[in-house]
This record gives sequence, C-alpha cells and structure tokens, in this order.
Amino acid sequence: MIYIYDGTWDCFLTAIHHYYYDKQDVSNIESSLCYKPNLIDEYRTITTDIIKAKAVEEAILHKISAESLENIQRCFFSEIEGREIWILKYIRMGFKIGSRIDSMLGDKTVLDVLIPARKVGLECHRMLGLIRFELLEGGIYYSKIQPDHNIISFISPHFKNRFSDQNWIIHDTKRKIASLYNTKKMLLSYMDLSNIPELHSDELKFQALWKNYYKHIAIKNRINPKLQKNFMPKRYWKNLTEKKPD
Amino acid sequence: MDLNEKLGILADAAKYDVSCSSSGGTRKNKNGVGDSHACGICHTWADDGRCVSLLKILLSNECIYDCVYCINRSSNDVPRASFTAEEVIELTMNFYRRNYIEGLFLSSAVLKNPSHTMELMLEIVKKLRTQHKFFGYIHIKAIPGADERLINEAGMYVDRMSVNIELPSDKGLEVLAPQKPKKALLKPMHQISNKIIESKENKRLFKKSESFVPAGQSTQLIVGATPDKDLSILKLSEALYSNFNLKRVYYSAFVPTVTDPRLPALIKPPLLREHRLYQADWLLRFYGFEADELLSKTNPNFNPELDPKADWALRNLHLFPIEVNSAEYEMLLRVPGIGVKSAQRIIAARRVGRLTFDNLKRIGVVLKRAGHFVTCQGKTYESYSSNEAIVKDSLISAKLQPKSKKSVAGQMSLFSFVNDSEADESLSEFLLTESPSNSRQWLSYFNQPQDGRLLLSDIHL
Repeated sequence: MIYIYDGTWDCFLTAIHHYYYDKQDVSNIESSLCYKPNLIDEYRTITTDIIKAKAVEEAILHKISAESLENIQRCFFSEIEGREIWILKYIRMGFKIGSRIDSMLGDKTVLDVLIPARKVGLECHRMLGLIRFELLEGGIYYSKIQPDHNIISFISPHFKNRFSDQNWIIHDTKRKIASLYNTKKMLLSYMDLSNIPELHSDELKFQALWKNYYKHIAIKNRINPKLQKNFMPKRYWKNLTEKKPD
Repeated sequence: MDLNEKLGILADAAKYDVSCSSSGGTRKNKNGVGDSHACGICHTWADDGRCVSLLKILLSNECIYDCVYCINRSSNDVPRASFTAEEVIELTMNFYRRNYIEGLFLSSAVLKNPSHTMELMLEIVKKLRTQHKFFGYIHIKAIPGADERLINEAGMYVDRMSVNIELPSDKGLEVLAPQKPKKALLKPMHQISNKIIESKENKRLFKKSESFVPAGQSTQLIVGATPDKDLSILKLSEALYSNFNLKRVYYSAFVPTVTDPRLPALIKPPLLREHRLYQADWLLRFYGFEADELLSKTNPNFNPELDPKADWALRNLHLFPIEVNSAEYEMLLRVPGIGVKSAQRIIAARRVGRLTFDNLKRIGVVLKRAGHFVTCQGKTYESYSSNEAIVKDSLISAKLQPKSKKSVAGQMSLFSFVNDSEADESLSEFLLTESPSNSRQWLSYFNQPQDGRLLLSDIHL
C-alpha cells in the first residue's frame, strides 16, 4: 500500500497518523506532485486533517525531542527525493528509543534524515547573506530567490527581525511561494506575484555603488576563483546584484 | 569627486586589512533597523575568495605617517580622498537595507592627528546608532595615540574594536614604521581589554548597563614583510590571546604594493605561510595546543607540506594510536582528520553505543588521515601503519597534492614551476632570499636572532 499526500507538511503528518492508526501494510508515502499512478501499486490518497497533523507533531516533540522535530522538518523541506520513507523510518525508531536518537550520529537511519537536514541548514545560513533586495516604487524591498531547498519559511523570520521597519517581499520564483512583510505582520503563502512595480529611481545608483565596491575590494595578487565558487556556488550568482553584468 | 570614485579609492585603501567578520556579539533590533548574531553572516565572496561581510572602507587615506609597508603611506603616489560623515552613513544604511552587508568596518588613515581622526569616526558611529537607529554590526579601528576618552566613548557604540600591530616584532616596527611607537600600539589594546572586563563586571551587577565592545577586540599581523619566523608570530598571538583576551588575531600575507629597499622583494604574497598560521591559530584557540608544541627554536617555521596538526602528530607518533571509544575529548581533537565537530559527535555518539570505523566515516571523520592514529574497539584501520615514512606519505597525498602539474621530469625550469604551482609557495620564499640587491640590504636590518626581541615583553604590562 502506498499513501499519497498532497506535498504539504500537514498532509504528510496526517499520513503518518494514518500509518500508525489504520494498521495497513504501508510500503511508502509519496507526494502527489511526483507520484505517477500505475496498475501494480495499491494506493490511497490522504487528505489533510489538521488535528491529526498536530497530534503527530506533539508526539514527536514529547516522545522524541524538539531537536528531532526540527531535523525532521528540515529534512522534509529539503524536497530531496525519498525523504518521506527516510522520515518514516526515523520516526519509527524515535518512538522506540526516544531522545537517544539525537546522539546516534553514526547510524544510517538517523543520518538519512540528518544529512538532508544539514544541507537545508547550510543553505538557510548561506541565503541569509546571499539574498539581495531591490527597492521598488512605493518603498517595497523586493528579493527574488531560487534556492535548492524549500527554505523560505526558515529564513523569513530572520528578515522580519532585521528589517522590521521596512516593507519587504521574498519571492521564491522556483516554487511560486512568497513571504510578505508590511512592518507589522508577515504573510507566507503560495502565490505567483505578477505586476511587480518599477524600480525606485535611486535603486540603480546604489546597485552601481555596490558593484564598484565589490570590484575594488578584491586583491588582484590573490585572485582565487576556485575558493570563491566553493563558498558561493555559481548557481546562486544569477540573483546577486554584484554578479549581474553592467 | 563623486561618491563612486571615492568609494573605489577608499575601498582599495582598506582592502589589505583582512578582518571582515561580523561574529562574536549579538545585538537586538530596538525599533530601528538591523541586528547581529554571534555566528556572523557572510554576504558575498570577492574574486580573491575572501568573504565580504562588512562594508570595509577607510574614512580617509590622507595619512600623515609614512609606514614603509603601507599602501597609504604619505610618500606613496596614490589618489587621495576622504568621506564625509553623511556619505559613510548613506552608504551603510542603503547597503544594509538591501542586505548587501552585515554592517560597517570603519578604519582610517591618520588625518591631521590621531585624536582628530578618532573624533570623526566617533561622530559617524554615534550618529548611526542614535539618529539612524542602526543596530547592525560595527567594527572600528582605535587609532593609536588618540585621546583615551574618545576610544572609551566609541567603544560604547560599536561591536568590535581593533588596533593593528601589523609588524610582529620590535625591530620590524622600528625599521618599517618609524613614526609608530610600539608603546602607543599596545596602550589602546590594554585599555580596551580592561574596559571590556570592567563592563562585563558591571553587567553582572546592574543588568541595564551598556556593554563596551561586546564582540571583543582583534588585531592583524603582516606575514612576510619582516624576516620574523613563524614561531615568533605564533608566540605573539598566544600572548595576545592570553593577556589581552583578544577574540581574533588575523594574519595578512604581505602584498607588495610599494617598493622600498627596506621591504623584501616578494614575487607573490606568501599565501601558504598565511594559511599555515591560520591553521595553527585555530589549534591554539579551539584545540588546546600551545605554540611551543607546534614549533620550536630548532624548528621555527611551519612545514610547507604538512598542516601543523599533522606535523605535530607525526613528531609524536608514540602517543598513537588512541582508542576512539575511550579517548579523552582533548586527545580526539589532536588526531589529524578529526575536527571539533567530529570530536563532539564522537563523544555524543559513543554514549549510546560503541563505534566502528563505518560509524566514524558517517560522522564525518576523514579516515584517510585519522586511520593512522586511532583504533576502533581495538581494531586498526585497513591502511594503518606505524611507520613514520608511510604515514607521512599518506598524509601528504591525502592533501595538498598539486592537482594539475603537467610537467616532464628534467624539463622543469625553475620559473615555470613558480608560475603555475600553488603548492610550492615555499619556493618563492626561497627565491626571495636569493634575489638580488635589496634582500641583503633588507636582511641587514635584522642581524640579531629572531626569538626574544618581540613585543612579547611589553604585553605583560
């Protein structure tokens, strides 16, 4: 039996709830976004039930640990193929042995979740630095991102604290998700923003200043593109102001 | 002169200062803009591979001093410029709001006199914090010789302050920076260190008191502008960490920007040497090593082939192998191939079960290196050997093997070698002592042994 969920975190947790209570022989949980139905597999579509999802979240928090819940969440939002079954195995083990699972750093089941979680953590940290805002007409700072993992929900709170007195939008154009902040409230939702306003008249001036600074700060006798790309992989360059052609 | 041009000149003037970190302190956003985290955030990496975290600029490069090694020395023919306070603030705020930077690193050449310069810098940081409600990271230079009160006041607004020693020995300062008395360098460092301790004490007594330089102080040493040995430099760093509670000592491979008979004729900056010093610096701060364990009078320079930890382990093979499942944390840290993270993971993981080599690999231990120094439940790793020559060979081949050396034996000319090889930095240093005219002149300034005559004696103020 394969459980099909709609790709969201809450629906995934609902599927886990069904796994434990329906006592069916489940071989996998798959997202409807990538699953292609065939004639051999027996499958069942799960619909989101917030109460069940919350119950699973609480159970992980209390029977395993807060650290585990965070790792599971990060692993889930890594969007790496196969993560659902890794998380399922991890949770099964966690419910048996409790918070000791957080110390089992050499175990394969644990690492299957931990390694994607670390990748997400790394990209989150990188993104805090690599996001670039452009000032638009009407005083909105707008930023476009295409991260490898679905990290927008992890990084938005950082910008809410930091830029609490400015309006801003972070727009994941790959997944069509955006977080919006209006100096009071933050909103995170699936949306495909269109009709983005024009750039503010000052914007290009500051972009030019920044590019100029960036060019001058490098020491010519020490040019080292390999080191640079190690820290800042090229796939991130397309959204970086300093890397855009003049 | 327009702002763009000024920014270019004053960024050029500031770039030889290596420090750009925004770590060490946390500051909350109190109804304004900005905050900072203890871990720091890098915002971009320049073409030289160095991280850009702060807007690193000089307020002015119009210097009254004539320090030989410095690009901004008064006798050097470079374009000069000075920012106004408003320009620095405008750049900082606008760059920050676009998330280009984590904050400001403001330094300056000495304009008119030290106190005047310090006053201008103080004005900027004060305005940023109070008028513009900026809570991002600020790092400023304390100008040696400036009025104590100015440095004290500036310390209340900034996160980090630094004084650059630049030249790691007395003699070096005397020859290359004749106008900078070394006492004047150490005095503000001593003052800042005392103020930090005092403010921490106050914080304990009165919760509300403001903190002074919460992210600590740092300094920078130039490597390769004087004939000081690695041992001397590392001993100096060690003393700075223990006596002045420095957060960081930065090392900057000397980049010849000006020519002078008193400077060495470097073909390229000694990057490998700089790298080794950073590795050793980490060993001092996080791995419990002491300078004397890594280098000695008979062995005063780092091995270009091996990193300092591997070099130490190789000289102390009699201490190994150690058993991963029972060794102390301090000893695990001393194993090449095990870093702070993997040592911590080993400690955590072995509480819930005994570890095998397979587990170690998953934890992130580099077994190619560590395999020669550890056992797992009494067993040795497949490639284990206790023969020094074999261990050395495998440590070298596991790292630092020049990847693309397309040369035929016997056809390699010395110069083609220098041009394309990064691994043989040591060779350019070798060429330096052989190079004509000025190196002899240069060395003659330093005829005494390079061990005792450091700034060390003065640090124990």
